Amino acid sequence: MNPLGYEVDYIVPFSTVAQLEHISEAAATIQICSTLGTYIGAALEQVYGVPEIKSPPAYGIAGTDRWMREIGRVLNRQGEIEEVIAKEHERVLPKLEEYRNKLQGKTAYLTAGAAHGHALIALLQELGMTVQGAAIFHHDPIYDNGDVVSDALAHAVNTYGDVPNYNVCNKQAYELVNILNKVRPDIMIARHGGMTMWGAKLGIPTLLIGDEQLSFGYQGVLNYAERILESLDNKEFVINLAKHSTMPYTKWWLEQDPFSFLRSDLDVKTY
Amino acid sequence: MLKLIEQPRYSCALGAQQSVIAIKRAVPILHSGPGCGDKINRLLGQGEGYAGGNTVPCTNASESEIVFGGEQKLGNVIEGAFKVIDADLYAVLTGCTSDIIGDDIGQVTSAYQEQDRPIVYVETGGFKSNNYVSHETVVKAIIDQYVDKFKKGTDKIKGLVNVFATVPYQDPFWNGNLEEIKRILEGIGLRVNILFGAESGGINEWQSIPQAEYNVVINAWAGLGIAQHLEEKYKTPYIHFPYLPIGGEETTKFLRQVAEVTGIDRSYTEAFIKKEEEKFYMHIERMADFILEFRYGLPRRFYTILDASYGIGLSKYLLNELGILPAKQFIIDDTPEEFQEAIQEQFNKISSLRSAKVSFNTDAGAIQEEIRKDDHKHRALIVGSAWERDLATEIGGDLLILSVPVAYRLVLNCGYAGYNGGLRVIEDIYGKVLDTYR
Repeated sequence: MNPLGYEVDYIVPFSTVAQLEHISEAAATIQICSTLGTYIGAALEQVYGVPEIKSPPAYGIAGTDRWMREIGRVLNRQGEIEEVIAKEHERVLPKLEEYRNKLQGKTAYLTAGAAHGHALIALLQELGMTVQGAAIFHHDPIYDNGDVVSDALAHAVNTYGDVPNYNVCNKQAYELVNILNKVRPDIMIARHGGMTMWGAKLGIPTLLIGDEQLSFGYQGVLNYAERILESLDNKEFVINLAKHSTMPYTKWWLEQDPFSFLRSDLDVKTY
Repeated sequence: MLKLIEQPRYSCALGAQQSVIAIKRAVPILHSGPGCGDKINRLLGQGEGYAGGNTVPCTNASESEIVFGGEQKLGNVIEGAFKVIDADLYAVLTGCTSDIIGDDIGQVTSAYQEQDRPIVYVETGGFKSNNYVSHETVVKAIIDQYVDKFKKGTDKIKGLVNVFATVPYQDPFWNGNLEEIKRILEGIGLRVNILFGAESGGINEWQSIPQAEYNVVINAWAGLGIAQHLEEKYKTPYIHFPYLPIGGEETTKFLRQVAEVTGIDRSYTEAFIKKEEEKFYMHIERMADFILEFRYGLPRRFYTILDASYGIGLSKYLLNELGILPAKQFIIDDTPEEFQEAIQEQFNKISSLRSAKVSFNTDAGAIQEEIRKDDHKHRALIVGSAWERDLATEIGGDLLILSVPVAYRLVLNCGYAGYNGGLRVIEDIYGKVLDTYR
């Protein structure tokens, strides 16, 4: 934002009260997590008329393009934004192609919250990987602003295609183990702690993305590709762990349909 | 051409005084200049023990001994040592000056040997070798000049083995390592002469060396000469495990090799292995989520600046059981050329998936320079000596101090060998890593 002549105030964590006193005067609000950022974004727009950038956060090339253009539109700086986009494409796309060649056809299973989960689905597909399924902790495609532009899941599906085995669950480890045991992806990616164990115990390289900024924007796509390649390479630990670890789930359970405990007689759909 | 070696990680041949000190109630008698023993003690020693450090009798040979010969003074010091120091074994060791002027210490010492005194002599002039080599020389001298004379017999005792592992004190964790090695070998049903340290039976154990059915060498190269000597002398075959076994995989491999060669009850061995692995992997499983999920930075590559036995053992463990990937490994023990290929081969097949680069270099200053120049994109773990502390800070890495000089840690019975040692490695690495977490 600095090259465009804007100063960025990162709110709300680490803000001073004095900083917060001026947020109603900002040129725009950008949120980087739809789950946690859209409430204040919507409020600032509704109450003070500060425009909110409503496109999904900048994950993946197409996603970042869309996000950049939305910023350009809201701030009326389209020309400059297009220049940045062109320059970044020139820099990033050749490198991305190298990563794509290495990652082509690799399979991934994902578990994350809604906002970042949707973003990661887009990102993995951008890298040429096959997303074999996802366990997403909650289902909130549209947030506080009520605008369909913000629908990150729709963006991912429309841009890169449908995701099979998309499962919305409240972090149910027993389902996850059952699914991973059947799906056996090349890599499992988790956004939150407490889930990686189940990939690793089955001998599946597992990556916890602790830092959501790592994969943000154009450079983020490359960072993320590098991190996935490193995780795929580092197999010794999970192979050894799989050989020696225990499994608290019964053999019976692992043979069942992962969703057999869902009450299909209620308002629940299984697949 | 002159070559400067910066920061060597071993001592001169006289360093084998520490091998004598590591035997219960044994004392070295130095025929060397004043300060030699102290300098070695500062590099290798941690604590004087029974009669090490400043307690060691010494001729303090200087001008007059060098000009007129020091044999008479050595005789006086030996006499004095017998009077004032209550020991089970005395070992006369020479420094450079004595070996240069050619004092006949054999002639001086043999007079006491003829009186059946428990005394041996070895020429350990600093220029002869480093202390990895002179450890062998000293142990062989004790066997030839003491054990052979005072041995309890030559009939083999069923299931008895002598163990020659890392070099005491040169390996700061020698005592803990030997305790664990003894524990696991006894665990599979063997009787063990561990020879050095707290768990050994002192000189009594040494007297039964000829009665062992096997010698077990747990070292890349140092100590092999002892086993070969014993094979010639007492027809005792030896088992060679060419690195320190650390953690579940390698310790089990070690025990199976020993069990197979010695022919002890296989089911007994397997039952012990099962019990130990269950315990070991329960902890690995318990901390796996930490390794997988800790968000604020864990080391992802490692350098080792270690002797060959530790270098191989630790590299295998860090990669295969902790998932830390090898950067470059450096062997600093001045490995004789004849052993280098086998060591290289161990690094070539460090895991079933990859090999690791290794170089043999005694110049740790040059090694540090090489590491410094690397691209430090990922947080690194250096396993080396206290002298790597500034380097680790500089590259934003973590340091596990394992090699001499240890300086910034105090080692008692901590050991890194075996099942228990593997767990200690984890505690020590990640304890330090967590300490950087703010």
